[in-house]
Parts: sequence; C-alpha cells; structure tokens
Amino acid sequence: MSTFTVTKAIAFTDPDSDTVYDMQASIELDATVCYRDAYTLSASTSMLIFQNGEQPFSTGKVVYVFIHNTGDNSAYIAFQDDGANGATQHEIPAGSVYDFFGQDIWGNVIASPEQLSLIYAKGDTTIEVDIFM
Amino acid sequence: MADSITVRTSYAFLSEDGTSYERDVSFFSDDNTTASRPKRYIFYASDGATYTALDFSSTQAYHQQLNGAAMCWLVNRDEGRDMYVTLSSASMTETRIIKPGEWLYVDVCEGDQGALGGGGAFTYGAEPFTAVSVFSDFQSARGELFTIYKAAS
Repeated sequence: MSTFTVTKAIAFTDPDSDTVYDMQASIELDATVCYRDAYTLSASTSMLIFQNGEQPFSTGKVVYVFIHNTGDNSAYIAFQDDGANGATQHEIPAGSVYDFFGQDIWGNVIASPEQLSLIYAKGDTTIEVDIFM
Repeated sequence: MADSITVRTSYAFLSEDGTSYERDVSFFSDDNTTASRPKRYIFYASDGATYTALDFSSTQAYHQQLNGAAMCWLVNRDEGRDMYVTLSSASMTETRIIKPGEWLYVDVCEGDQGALGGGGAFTYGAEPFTAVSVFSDFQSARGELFTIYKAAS
C-alpha cells in the first residue's frame, strides 16, 4: 500500500514585537503514481507540462501538484479544466513553490466542478514539476 | 532591513512497488523586500452563504489586506467538511474545492484568466485579487488563513 504525506510550514516573526506568526499543515493523501519532470521554459512560447489522459499521465483525478521555480526569473502557469472555462493563470516567483490539490477543483462555477485537464507554463526560467495521480 | 518569510513545503511518497519520491524545499518568500501587515486567523465558512475571508484594497483594515504583493495561505482545518474557495480579481473567478486538511497557497495575490490560444498561448496580465471568498455545504467548515504583505524595501 502506498503512503503519501505532504507538509507545509510558513514561518515569520515580527522584527519589532517578536510576535510569532508561524503556521503549519500536514495531510496524508491517496496516490498511486508520481510523475517528476524538469523543464527549461521559454519566455515567449508556452510549454505543455501536463495533459490528463495523455501518456505518460493516466486518465483520472490529479491528487497533488508541486511546481518549484528553480531559475532566476518568474514562471507563469495556466490551468485549464475540462469544462468551458477560461484558463486560470498565476505567477510563480523565482525560487518559489506553487502547490495545489487537484480533485474537483477547477472551474468558475462551484455547482459544476471540473477536472484538471491541462497545465501550460512559460517564462525565462527552469521549473521542476511533480504530479501525483 | 529585509524581513524574510520562510515557506517550507515537503512531501514523502512511497509507492506500492517500493519506489520513493521525496522533496523538501524552503524558500524565502520575501528575501529582498519588507514583510508587513501579517494576518493569521481562524474562520468558519458558512453553509450556503458566501463568507469573504479576506478582502484586498489600497488600505489595510481588520478584514483587508493591501493589494497585489501579498502572500495568502488558506487551510481547511475541518475534519469532515469540504470548503469552496473563490479567488476573484477584475476578470478572474477561480474556484477551488479544498477538502479537509488541504490548502490553497498563492505566493503573490494576483492572477489572470482567459482562453488559451493555439499551442497553449497565453498572455499573463497580472490583476490583484479583490477577494478570497469561502463557503461550505451542509454545515460550517473551520478554516485558517495567513497572509503577509510584501513590498519593495
């Protein structure tokens, strides 16, 4: 039986008051496969880094996605669900990690959740992408 | 003086065939800027009625963070109830379903939304978030939110 645990922790201490604002969360997930890739992105041309159901990705719900910008410039990602909704886009600053959970999350109408279908990325930088299904 | 926010994300995965994947990444979310205006609080997403967990504006208030260069982390602390989170900007409506224990993290509270062109072409036009809204089904779901504003020092 596979095991999969994800933990996130953010630490910040106010320099004037020494008040601590640390926060942590951990979760166990059910995944069977991991896909790990590294990409050198283009600043002008989008690169397809995930397509549901296309080899090597199996068809199904994405459990967790971990994107680490390992370069020196920002990366930009666009997510497309399997509905008729526009792709949502975010910036991943240099060195930053963008992670999210993929079951029934995409769309712009809560009443009709969609499944993650595509992820495109671009930027003058490199990224590492881990996808769990 | 730069005040750093340390964000650490790690995972450990062991598949049925014994293959293991691990990752442990820490980055300073604010290495070259000045962090300010931290907010951390528990909230309850109402059943059936949308609750604004965080507003964004040009001024700070008890429920408002400054526009744009803020980090936001929202965790569903409930043990059994899903939480529906909407990230809004001028032209973006992004909806997430955050299951118990899951979270939503954005390092920069900006986004964009639009149809992809051929080959997945898109032009990112950063729009600051206007609000982070939440609700839950059936009963209220307990969540926790943490945000810090990051500005050039």
